[in-house]
Amino acid sequence: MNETQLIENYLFDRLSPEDKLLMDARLLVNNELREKILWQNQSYQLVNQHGRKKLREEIEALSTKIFSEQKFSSLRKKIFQIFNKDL
Amino acid sequence: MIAEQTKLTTREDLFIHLYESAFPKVAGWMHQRGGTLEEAKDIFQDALVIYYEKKTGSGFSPDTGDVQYVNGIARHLWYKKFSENKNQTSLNPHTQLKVVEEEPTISENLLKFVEASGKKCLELLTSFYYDHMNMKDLALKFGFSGERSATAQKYKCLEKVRTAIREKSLNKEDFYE
Repeated sequence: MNETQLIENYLFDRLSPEDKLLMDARLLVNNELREKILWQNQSYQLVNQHGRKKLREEIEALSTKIFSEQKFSSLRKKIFQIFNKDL
Repeated sequence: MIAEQTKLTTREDLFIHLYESAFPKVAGWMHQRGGTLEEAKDIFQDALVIYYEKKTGSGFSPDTGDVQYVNGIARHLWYKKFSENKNQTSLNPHTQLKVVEEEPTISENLLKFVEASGKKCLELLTSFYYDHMNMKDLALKFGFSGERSATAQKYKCLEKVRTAIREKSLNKEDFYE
């Protein structure tokens, strides 16, 4: 198991009790490792934030398509009728 | 329910299905409560994000069906929006994000820096950690010979992002919004 994988297993609580104890002990004396854990945790947050940003862009683009393309005209009509809007 | 049982192959197919089956109901419900079309669109988009994250993250499959579930999320967001700020007429981007997640956000600068410096890696990591794609599909999508090499690359990419964050975060004000 490489260090990045070890940190991941530690952060995701997937280590055995023995390995977790060993890791906790290393963390007490190893500043660099503590920092790596912090940055790696931020990495997961960043990846999730990027994923959500891309998902939002995709949904926004789809919404634009639905409110402009011919193939969605019946759906659009149904929605515009709800809000009393002209096509 | 028949449409829901049909295999929807892409994410876009799934969202189109939900727009067609759930959005008119959501829009009608919001219109009755004084909501505008723009508000209904915004809330529905937020509901799709929550639905997607819940479904991919936990393999969650709602008993009531996907359409009913998205409908329920949208109504919940509507009530939440008006109980949080009764005077506000439209959602701003920060309100939208708060509704979905309360965690601190990485700054846009840092995100853009990593997006620019390691696009391919970020795509790979997103497919795994955000979209919860399995290793077999990940290997196929990114052209690896097998799951082992995809796993190895995933950790290399994670290390790369971690190093980029470390470098960038030396400038603290650049870190959180």
